[in-house]
Amino acid sequence: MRTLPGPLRALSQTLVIVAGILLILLTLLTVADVVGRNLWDQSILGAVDISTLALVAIAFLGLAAAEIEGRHVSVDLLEMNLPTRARTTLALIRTLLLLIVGAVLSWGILGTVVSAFERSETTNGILRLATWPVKGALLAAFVLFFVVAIWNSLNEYLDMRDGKRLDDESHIVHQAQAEAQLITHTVIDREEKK
Amino acid sequence: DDGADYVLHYTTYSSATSDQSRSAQRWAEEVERLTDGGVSVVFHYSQSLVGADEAVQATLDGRADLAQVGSIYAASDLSMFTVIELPFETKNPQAHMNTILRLYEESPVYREDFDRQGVRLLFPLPLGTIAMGLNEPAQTPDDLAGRSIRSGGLASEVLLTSKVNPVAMTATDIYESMERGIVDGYTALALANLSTFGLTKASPYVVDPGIGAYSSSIVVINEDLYQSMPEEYQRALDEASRKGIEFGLEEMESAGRIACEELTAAGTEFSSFSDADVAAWAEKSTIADEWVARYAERGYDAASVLDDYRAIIADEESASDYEDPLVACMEGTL
Amino acid sequence: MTGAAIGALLTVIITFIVLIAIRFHVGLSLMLAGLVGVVMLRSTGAAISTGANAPFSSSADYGLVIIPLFILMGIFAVKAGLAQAGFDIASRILRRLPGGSALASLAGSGLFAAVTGSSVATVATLARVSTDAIVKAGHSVKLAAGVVCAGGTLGVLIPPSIVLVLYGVVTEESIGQLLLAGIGPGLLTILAYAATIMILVVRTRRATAGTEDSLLERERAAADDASRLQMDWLGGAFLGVIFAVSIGTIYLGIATPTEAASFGALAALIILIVRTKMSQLLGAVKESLVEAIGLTAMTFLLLAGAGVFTYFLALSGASTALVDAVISAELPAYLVLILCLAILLPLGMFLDGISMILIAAPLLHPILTGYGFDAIWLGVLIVKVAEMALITPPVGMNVFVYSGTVKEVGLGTAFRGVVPFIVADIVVVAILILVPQIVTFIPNLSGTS
Ligand code: NA
Ligand code: NA
Repeated sequence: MRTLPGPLRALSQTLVIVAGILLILLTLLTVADVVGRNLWDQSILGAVDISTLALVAIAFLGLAAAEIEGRHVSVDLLEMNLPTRARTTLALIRTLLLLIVGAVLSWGILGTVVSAFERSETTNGILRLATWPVKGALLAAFVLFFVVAIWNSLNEYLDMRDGKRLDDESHIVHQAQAEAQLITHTVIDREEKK
Repeated sequence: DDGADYVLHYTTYSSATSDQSRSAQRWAEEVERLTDGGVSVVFHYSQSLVGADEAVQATLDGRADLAQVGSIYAASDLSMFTVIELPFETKNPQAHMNTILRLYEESPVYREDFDRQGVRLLFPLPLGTIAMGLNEPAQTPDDLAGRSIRSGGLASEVLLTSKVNPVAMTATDIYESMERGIVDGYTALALANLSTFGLTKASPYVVDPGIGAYSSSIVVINEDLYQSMPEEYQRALDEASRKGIEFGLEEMESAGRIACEELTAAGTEFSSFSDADVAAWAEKSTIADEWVARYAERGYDAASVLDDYRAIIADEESASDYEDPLVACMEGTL
Repeated sequence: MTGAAIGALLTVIITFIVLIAIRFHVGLSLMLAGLVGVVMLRSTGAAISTGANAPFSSSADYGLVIIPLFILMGIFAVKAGLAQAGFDIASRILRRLPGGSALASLAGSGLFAAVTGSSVATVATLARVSTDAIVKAGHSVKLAAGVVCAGGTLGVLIPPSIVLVLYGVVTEESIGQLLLAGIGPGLLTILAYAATIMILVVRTRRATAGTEDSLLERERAAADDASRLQMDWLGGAFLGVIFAVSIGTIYLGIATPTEAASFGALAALIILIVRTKMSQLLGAVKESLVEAIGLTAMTFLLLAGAGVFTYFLALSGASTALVDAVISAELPAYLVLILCLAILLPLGMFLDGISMILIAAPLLHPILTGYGFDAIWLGVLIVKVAEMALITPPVGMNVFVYSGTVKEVGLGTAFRGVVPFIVADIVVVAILILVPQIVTFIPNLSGTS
């Protein structure tokens, strides 16, 4: 299995960190808004506007990293039991589908960024924030996600063609275990140490 | 619907039973009748097709054919249309509606947005005079200082001049928030909306704040689609649209009447800010100037649109003695 | 529906099933299948616009801010060792009861699932640990499989619950009320599962009584082990604090759910800071953020895909046609209810709880409220049954993940272990239908509408 090129990994990580910082700021903004409103009758103007726009970035900037960690939900109950040739062909088909969906969606999202910029599109809240920067972040998140997903899928196909990775575990199990390890490895470590 | 030559998908943020959707339904029936079923309309209510802020874009790119476009969602796409949501300009919804239509024909700057976005204005839908529901009474705008009031659009900016905390919140959440004291009041709604959102039972005090007919919505169609239709269908759409304002005012009144009865039954106390207070409040507000400045910066001749708007409003007001349902409710004449 | 719409609908459904079958991302499958339908009914341009706008329009909604906040809160709490503390305390307190180790695993699963909101991840996390503990106490692996798989389903009812939040978002019902409404049924399910465990264990105890391998003796030995566990009572107390801050404030009407979630996330962060060594703090916070953002992205990709799919359903008229047809059929209301709930069970074959709710709730909710059922009660019931689908045969994702993680337990054995818990679930659902107050009494007590 070929490892993902370093820059792609680094870029994915950077986007996650940006989203993480935004999420912390979002938490603090909401808390400050409530506290201000209750203690000093003073809420933060446009807090909802800001939060909503920040959410869009928070929601999708982690796409590529989640793909690297194998988190996205997919189901392989049928696929696993097919003959080798068929599975290899399906891996190729998945790669091609990702390529098509990725190209169309990236192109489409690029269109929304350009349109938002040209129309000076803003939110409809009191602050009237420009939406193109967030839509630009969406574009970056999706393009990177598709590049990583296509890379993973292509490698899976190449490995299968070479007769590798066919005895792999079920993907569902893999995904669940990856998620488990990431969320809760405190438990797993602890039991292993005993 | 299989027999129709044109099946038009209508997207709206309003619910199926709101006065605005009822008006649009009556318009659609009229179109179907006039075209002998050649044109039919499929309704998608409550943003079930596309979101309120996407309505214009969706009509342009083919996700929908017809859309209800609220002025508070139109700042990016139909900037000049938002002139009609400036506060303190008129308290007459009928004059307001006629002005929205006339500007489309008489103000090239106002019209240009529609042409650029590829949508055609069919008819406006009235919202009515802005009402304010409160948990505690308020005699003057200054009494509102320090309160958290659910608001939206330019109404929020008016409230800021009286040191109110405007809270953004979807209309469906207001009832619960009023009950729990998360907000002390709400505005940016008209009398006709109150029953739909259960607010007739959660409004001990209803005030006419004097802001007037501050917001509205319009129904638009994809211009290319309209142009592709045979002339008889175009004429049918135009003819039905000419009845749009009448349908809208009728439906708004009947929804307002229901709300008025429910509020009265619930023991709501009605009041209005005095003319002097409203005049002073309007004086403090620089919203119209800011509106002109904001769009002038983007290259619009916004000042001309505002001048046209005020001139046509004055003209239409003199031709109409229409009384808003909120005022009529307070006077017991609804 | 027109002929063209029916053709498009069939194409979309077949496309979706094929994409799922060839192991394409579920979120992208929903999106792609929906877009094929939009091309058929409108135009390629409309389809591209639909797909391109879906990520923004499905996430630019203040009502959804609560999702990453709850996820972040849960992960901070786990990183701070609070779920572990709760697990240990449960092991200690429950150790003398029949099936103490299994009860503790159940509590542990409930806690992890409640905090992390992911049923399958909970199963994967606790499968090995719980199975070892339960088997060591003398029980069968079948019991272990049942406890872990069923325990994973507890999280969706016990707040915070992302699935209940999403239900509220897609049906426009009150999220605060839904979260509060999950508490009663969550507790009832725990009781039902605990009773199931104790009945199974007491039966085995009787069968093995007096033999050298007596279950009672082995349970006592395991209980003695549990009493030597180092207790982290403070951790347990902190867990209570987070629950009070994030759910108690909703109950008291002090905060909206989103505000409550932000307080919960901040409280969890502060607790993490207090409980982590300075040298490890930055790492722990960073790890938590990375995990929270990953889970958030996964959830929102499903939301974006479901957004396109439901746009197609609305456009084709399929949603309204289905809802109108069922409502105008005027069937007996409870028959419709049971049929609607039963439809969910096979969906657990290829969908997780979130996807199931995103697809099914917009259809089932209007049908069943049309038959006069209470909206909040319905929400809890639908979410409860959707989660049951993860453990019911022929395939349930929880069972699949369990069997994949604990290799020596085959799928067949695992399913046999789950059967008693499915029976318990059916009893719970029946009770919830007969005594709806179990769902509604907490939201009603809270004095909200
Ligand atoms: Na939960
Ligand atoms: Na199942």
